[in-house]
Amino acid sequence: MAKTVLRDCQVIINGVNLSDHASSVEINFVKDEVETTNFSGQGRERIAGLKDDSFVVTFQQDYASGEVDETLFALYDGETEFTVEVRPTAAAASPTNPKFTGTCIVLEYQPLAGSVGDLSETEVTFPSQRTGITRATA
Amino acid sequence: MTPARQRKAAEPAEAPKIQDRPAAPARKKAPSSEPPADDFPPNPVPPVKAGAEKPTERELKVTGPKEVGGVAPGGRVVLTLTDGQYEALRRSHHVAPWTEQDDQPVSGLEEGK
Repeated sequence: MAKTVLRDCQVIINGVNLSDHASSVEINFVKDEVETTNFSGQGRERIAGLKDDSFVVTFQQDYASGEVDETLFALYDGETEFTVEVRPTAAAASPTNPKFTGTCIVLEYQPLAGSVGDLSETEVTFPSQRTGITRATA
Repeated sequence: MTPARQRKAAEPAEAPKIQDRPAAPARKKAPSSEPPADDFPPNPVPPVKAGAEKPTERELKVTGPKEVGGVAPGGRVVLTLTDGQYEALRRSHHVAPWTEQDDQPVSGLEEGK
């Protein structure tokens, strides 16, 4: 199978395609570690606990109408849940281009941070709610 | 018996004060399935659960510079959204409600002019 170079990842926040202002993306599948170590062995034992999946996206900041800042601030301020969808390429979801989707919330948003001469970027973590992030191939 | 309890036991004088009040109407004995009458009444406002908001289908016009629901700016998009999700899109100038006016073709403009 071909190795993948990220060129046209799709980052869709609450239905809005912000891919042209996203410069990096992470999808983190995480489960709590619940320790179940007991006297039956020589080492630790654990089982999977609650899911705590998240998306982390770095956006190139843009304060224009309908751009990054307005989109993210409205979601942060409205305290609403919304869908985040990420695909490796712009093509439709398929077995070679899986779609990762989660119902998320924004709890932290830093609209401005940087030094003189820097590109204004903001990294936003979208923790997923309840069911975690799902992976679909269609 | 402790001295404090002995004092309480020797205070029958407070009882008549309660009797001075008008008698409350006799309460019907609740069937066993109902909660006891002394319980708090149920809260008329249901608790708000995160994610419990019901999404509804909305016909919208894409007004911002970004694709919304895979539809380019100026296009018509039908999205199933909760009030909060719709409000966030509207506040950030991505969408506006699709109106009858949007359905009508632009008149007064002739092709080629």
